[in-house]
Amino acid sequence: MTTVYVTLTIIGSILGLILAPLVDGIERKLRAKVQNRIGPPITQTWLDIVKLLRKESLIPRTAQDLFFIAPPLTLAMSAATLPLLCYGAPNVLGFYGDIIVILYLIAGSSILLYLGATASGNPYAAIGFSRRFSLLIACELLIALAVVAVALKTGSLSLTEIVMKSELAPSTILAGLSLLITSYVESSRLPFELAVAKPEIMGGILIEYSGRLLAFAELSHLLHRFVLVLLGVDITLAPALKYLIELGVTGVIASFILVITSTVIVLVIFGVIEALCGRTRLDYALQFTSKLIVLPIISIVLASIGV
Amino acid sequence: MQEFILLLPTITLALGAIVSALLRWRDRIAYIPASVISAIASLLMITSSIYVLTHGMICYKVYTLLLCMDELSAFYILVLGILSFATSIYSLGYMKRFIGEYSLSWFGICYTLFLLTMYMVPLAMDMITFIVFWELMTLTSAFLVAYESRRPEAYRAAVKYFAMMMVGAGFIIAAFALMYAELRAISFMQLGAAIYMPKFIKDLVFAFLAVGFGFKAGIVPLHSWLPDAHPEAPSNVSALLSGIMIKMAFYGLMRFLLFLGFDLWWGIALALWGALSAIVGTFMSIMQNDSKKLLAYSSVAQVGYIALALGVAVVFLSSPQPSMRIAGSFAFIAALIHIMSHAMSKGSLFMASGALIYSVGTRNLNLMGGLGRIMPFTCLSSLIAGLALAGVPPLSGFVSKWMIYASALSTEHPLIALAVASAMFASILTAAAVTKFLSSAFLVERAPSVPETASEVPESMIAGMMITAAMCFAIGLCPLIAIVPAAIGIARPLILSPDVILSSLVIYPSIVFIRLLGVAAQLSSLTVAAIIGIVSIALLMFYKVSISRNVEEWLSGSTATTAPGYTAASYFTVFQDIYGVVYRIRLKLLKSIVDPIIRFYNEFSLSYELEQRYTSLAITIMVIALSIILIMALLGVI
Repeated sequence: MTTVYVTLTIIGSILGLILAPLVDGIERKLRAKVQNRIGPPITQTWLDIVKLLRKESLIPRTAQDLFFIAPPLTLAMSAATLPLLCYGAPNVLGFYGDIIVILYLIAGSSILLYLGATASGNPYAAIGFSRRFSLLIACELLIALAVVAVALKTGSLSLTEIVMKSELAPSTILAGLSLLITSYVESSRLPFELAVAKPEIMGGILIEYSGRLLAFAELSHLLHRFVLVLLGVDITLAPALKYLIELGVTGVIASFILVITSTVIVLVIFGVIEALCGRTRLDYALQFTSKLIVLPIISIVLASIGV
Repeated sequence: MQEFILLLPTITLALGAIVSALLRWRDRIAYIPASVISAIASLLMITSSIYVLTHGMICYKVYTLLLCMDELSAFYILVLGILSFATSIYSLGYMKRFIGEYSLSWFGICYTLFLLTMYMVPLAMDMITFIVFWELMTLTSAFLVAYESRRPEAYRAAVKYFAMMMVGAGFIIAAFALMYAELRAISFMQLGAAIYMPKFIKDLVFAFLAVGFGFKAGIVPLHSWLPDAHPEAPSNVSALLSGIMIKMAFYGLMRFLLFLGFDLWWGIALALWGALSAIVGTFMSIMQNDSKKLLAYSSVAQVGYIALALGVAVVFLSSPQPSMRIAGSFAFIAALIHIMSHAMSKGSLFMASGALIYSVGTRNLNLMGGLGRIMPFTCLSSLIAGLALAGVPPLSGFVSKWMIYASALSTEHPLIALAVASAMFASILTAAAVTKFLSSAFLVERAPSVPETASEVPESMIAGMMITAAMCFAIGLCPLIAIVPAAIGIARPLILSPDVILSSLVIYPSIVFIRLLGVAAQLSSLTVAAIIGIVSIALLMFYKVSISRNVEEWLSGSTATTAPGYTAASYFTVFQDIYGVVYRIRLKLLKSIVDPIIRFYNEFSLSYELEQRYTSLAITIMVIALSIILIMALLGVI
């Protein structure tokens, strides 16, 4: 059984790395359909990344070393979350508190990329940084509350244990859903795409990145989206996953497929929602997130009374 | 022979003070012997604390005055020693700023005595000695805050600090008096009986101690001295103030909690109080444009984390079950490790802000920018320390924060869980404050106000910053170097064996990593990170190198001189609109709770401030009074 778990985790990690840009391709195709365009092939994002990897990297006159060092480190940190996740099968590498490690790795890698962006010396990057960070702060409050609600209900901070100990409880499902909604805001999708905002601040944090450095930054951004949604899916579907895992080997494989497909479906739905929105302003975005606090707070209250 | 180890740092530091005093007539070089002797004394402190951690408690008796270093004191002295070693080396370069401006021999005297009193506080074995050294620590640090005495801000900050510390000491003395009235004992050896005091008295003593030590620690709303005093002190002193002095309050609290026993509600109150401090401190911190004020407010927040961890420990230990004792020891260790990691990261950052003052001549972040090019080593060390403070894995801050969250959430208490959620939120706000500091000082485009002469600071200053930054890195990569001393430090007071604690602590990622390496080629998060990091850096560096440097940056057509700049004042301004309620609550809290207490002492501080000619007289009288008490304690009169 352990070998099945380990293989599925390894397959999941590799699949995550491949799927993250691929799902973006699907989103782009669907978005084009919504907007009455033909759209690029679904491999387009991968092709973009491969092409960027071969292109020349330009380093601006005002840039400092961190501009150059940050993208590979960011990619490494966000990829480090992959083997810690729970892809339907219990993760043998899981430990008490791994969910905190995952969240801190994601936040830390974003912070590093933003610092790298400001190190370009371009004021537009600094504007993008400030906007992006404000949004990140607002989202992190929601994420922290949701995680605490889950921890209160299941008595664990390990993702695998959360899945294995879960029962059909409204508090956990609400926490999972609020994680999903937060992940929409955090992964800077369109109404909240303030840091990049190409028509306004010309790419913001990404303005000076090009070539291979841009490829690393893009890939780690897509990984963030994937990981956050997968986390939300894990927690929302936890009771179903537990039921499947307890069925034996076929059940584990079924739960693996369930997690991966629902992650892809959620990401695609997010992509379609994105096609229907225009960009908002930072203060509206923050007002929206501060209203969202109600969801995880209710979840904490429910968890502390035991449902 | 053993006693000698305990006494050596004391003698060395006293010698340093005497040498500094004698060099009054050669003032220009007075800072060199003071710094060198302090660095030597710091190494001796590290030696003595490691000796105690490995061999057990040492005591030394001067007449009837008993000084002991047990394992808990040794942990604090270890942190003190490492940090003061770094700041002493840093002083060698930094104090050059003040040559000819302010008396360097006066600095030498105060600095060595400040270190001496901080060393003596954890050694005190009775309440009188404790409070005497506690007050001397306040006094010497107040002198150091007022070091640039011709600047009215520094003078005012020192007086405010001193007045608030008087209030705090009043509470501590009240708690001591209550304990004495109940137990008729002042020695720590006999205070173990405190656990049998009536519940009401114990509650009162705990409340007094929490408020009294809360003043020193700077927990919201008792923090208002801290953002004034820490920025005004010279930066090497700020590093010590923020790094270790405010944590001495937690030494006191831990020590007396171990006597008083534990109560569930004390723990919850401490944890919630800490969470409040973390939130308010970070919210204030992200709004600051003064580099050292930003760091000082962040200290207010980090102190909140320590209070949270200590509260969790109290919650666990209040339970009679023996298994809770181990869980409580984890929370205790989390608090101790946060003390260590914060001492290192904040020490390094304060020294970096001193380096900025040294080369740019200002604390205003709006007037900086692009200094990473001019000061690469300062930039590197503060980048490491800053990310460690923000809790980015795999650096030291992450270890302690992870331990705090993990142990706090295993209490499964809703109120504690709420405190943890706010602490997690505060953690990202800390990251925001730190990145604001880093990007506006070092990374964004060079501000026109940066002088042409700005250059990297002297090697000694770089060494000081690098030592602490390296510690942040080391603790993050191998947490055991902090966990083992902390476990030994807390094991004996909790009647546990360090081995028991350590053997139950195998869950931290990098420890897992070390274990897995021995077993088989299994994947771990860190190995994956290492592989991908190495591959991508290799891709970047070697494979088909096509990098064009020195390209013109894209400023949408405007030239570099006309392009809009982005200064520190522009960051996160939106928060004042959205979370304005937090900023308003802070003011109300401050006004309604603290002001009456401060007003009580206002008369004293006002007269103290206005009539400067009486200052030296008043201080002399205080020193004489404290020395008389000390001598009386020595001779066994009290």
